[in-house]
This record gives sequence, C-alpha cells and structure tokens, in this order.
Amino acid sequence: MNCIESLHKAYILTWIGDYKTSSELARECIQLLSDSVKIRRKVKEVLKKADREYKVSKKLREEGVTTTDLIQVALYYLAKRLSVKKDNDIEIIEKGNIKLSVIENSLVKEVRGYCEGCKGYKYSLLNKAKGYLILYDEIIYAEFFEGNKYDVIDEILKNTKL
Amino acid sequence: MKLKISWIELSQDLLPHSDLDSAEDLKLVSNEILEAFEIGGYSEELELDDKILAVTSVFSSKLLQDISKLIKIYEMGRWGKLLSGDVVTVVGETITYALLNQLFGISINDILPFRNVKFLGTISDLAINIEKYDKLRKFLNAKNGLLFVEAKATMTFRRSQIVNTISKSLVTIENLRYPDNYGLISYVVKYNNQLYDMMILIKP
Repeated sequence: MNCIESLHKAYILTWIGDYKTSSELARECIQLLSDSVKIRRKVKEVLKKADREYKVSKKLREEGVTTTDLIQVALYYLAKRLSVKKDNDIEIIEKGNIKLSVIENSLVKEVRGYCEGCKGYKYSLLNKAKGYLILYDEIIYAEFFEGNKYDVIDEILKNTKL
Repeated sequence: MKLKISWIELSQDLLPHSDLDSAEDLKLVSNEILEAFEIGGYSEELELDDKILAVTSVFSSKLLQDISKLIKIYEMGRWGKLLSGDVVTVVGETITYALLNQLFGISINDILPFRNVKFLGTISDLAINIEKYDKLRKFLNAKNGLLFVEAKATMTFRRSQIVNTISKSLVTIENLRYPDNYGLISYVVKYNNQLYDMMILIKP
C-alpha cells in the first residue's frame, strides 16, 4: 500500500464528507509509519539544542535525519489527523468508482465528488439545472440552483465517462 | 485571472547553515530577494484558468466555500485590507497549486498538502517528485530529487512583514531540502495594484 496515495484519497474524501472511509485509510497508514515517533523524538532533540533557526538544517543531517525521514514524520502526523473517528453527517451517494455528496445549506447548491482512477478535464454547463460542472482527474465539482438534486446527480454520473 | 510571475533564483551557498554564519545573513538575503523583485519586475505573464482554481481549492487547508470567488475579490480589492489572514492563506495555496499545474503540468493526483501538520516546523506545504515531470526536470536542469513548495500570500504590501515571512520560509525549506533537493517559495503579493507571484527558487 502506498501511503501517499491513500492519504491523498483520504484528504479528498474528507472534503466530500466521507469521514468514515478516510479515517479507515488513515489508520492503516498510522500502523505502517509507526516508527516515525522515534524520528520525531530525534528531531525534537535537535530543535531543542539549536540556538538559531538556520542552524537546524545542518544539525539535522549531522544527526542522521534525512529528507525522506522528515516527509515520513509529516505523513504520520497527517494520517493521525485524518484518522479521527467521526460519523458521516452527510449522505454519500456511491456508484461504482464514484462518490458524491450534495451540500444544500445555501442558495447555491454544491456537488462534491471523487472519481477513483479517472483522468481528463471537462467543463460544461448543466442541462437540468442552472449551474456548471467541472471534472478534473479525480475531482468532481458542480454548482447549481433551481433544479432537482437527483436530476443533477444523474447528469453528472452520465458525464463522468471521460 | 491574470498573474505576473517573477522568478528569483538563488543558490544554497548564499544561505546561512553553520555556526560560522550569522543571523544577519538570513535577513540580508531575504531583503535582497524582495529588492530583486521590486527592481526586476516580472518575467512572465500568465492567464490562470479560473476553473482549475475551483479544483485546486479542494487542497487548501481551511474550510471555506467559494474560494475562486474570494480570489476574484482579492484580485479586485482596491480598498485596503478586505480579507483576513486565514482567507489570504487559502488564496495563496490555491493559486500556487493551480500555477504549478499550469506551468509544469503537476497532476492534482500528486498534490498532498501538508499544511495541516505544519506545526511540526519541519515540513513545507507540498513535496513534488521531480522525476515524474519532464517540464520540471528541464526547467530545474535536474535528473531527480524533490521540490519542496511553500505557499504564501499577502494582501497589503508591507516590506518588513514580507521580509520576515521570506526568512521563515527559507528556514523551513532549508530544513527539508538541505543539501541536495530543490525548494520553491511561491509568494502571491499585491503590488502597485497588480497581482504578482514571486517565485523564489532555491537550488543546491
């Protein structure tokens, strides 16, 4: 499993509102990256000792903390943040490799979606409502008003065959 | 949206690292960078696709709606400070990601923002694998390595503040980059009522 990819996915899923899946993905990563705590401890020691900020970089390398180590630590803490358990408080519509949610708390309604493995760029106006649709690689985004939510979702699902 | 890009390149030898250097060096370099921007102006003018801004705003750190509209307000703003610091940060991140996408074809599938864990002090906003992108490889004249990106923005042009932010970003980038990777600070600024992106490139 590639943690960068799964955290990327988890990040987008939190944007949609699917906290459940994203915390599952993140928790798997926490286990894989668990030795990051040790590295972080080392980094903290260096930060404690360095009397000036600019000296930290050289000191870190001298202590054996490499660039990849630092990225690993960041991934670990990001996974920790994304792993917070929370129930989905929005309805997630799933179809095949697509996940969608509709946010209806303002005049303009928003559709946010994730399309696994999709590639390409498409921009179009919606036929069944006043609004637009952007498909860009994995991201689905639409804004509309004066229309039925389910009609719009149908239209988006038809359009996602890039 | 029109954006003027100003490339500023510096080598890592100019930056202080060891006990032999003094704290003044960092301030001096940051000041020189800003001066280079003020005198040198811009090298490229670009038309950013507004639709991509809507997509890249997904990866910004704060929960705000309509970020692409906020960017428009930021672009037009002639009445002093309109947006609070939080909003400007999001604007900076969104523009930076869109710009990288348009300039070097950085796929949004490769964007994993670390903004949420910046409290660590040892991570930048974004890390890009240079090997994956031909355009970037040619531009940097490098075969492999990582490019660390810091996204910053400011609404009001205050020299002292910008110099401070540049030095802070330089330190963060150096912590990660030293000694053989690449760094980039993308600083979106409003200068003389025009939108600029100061792109500070740090090479080994």
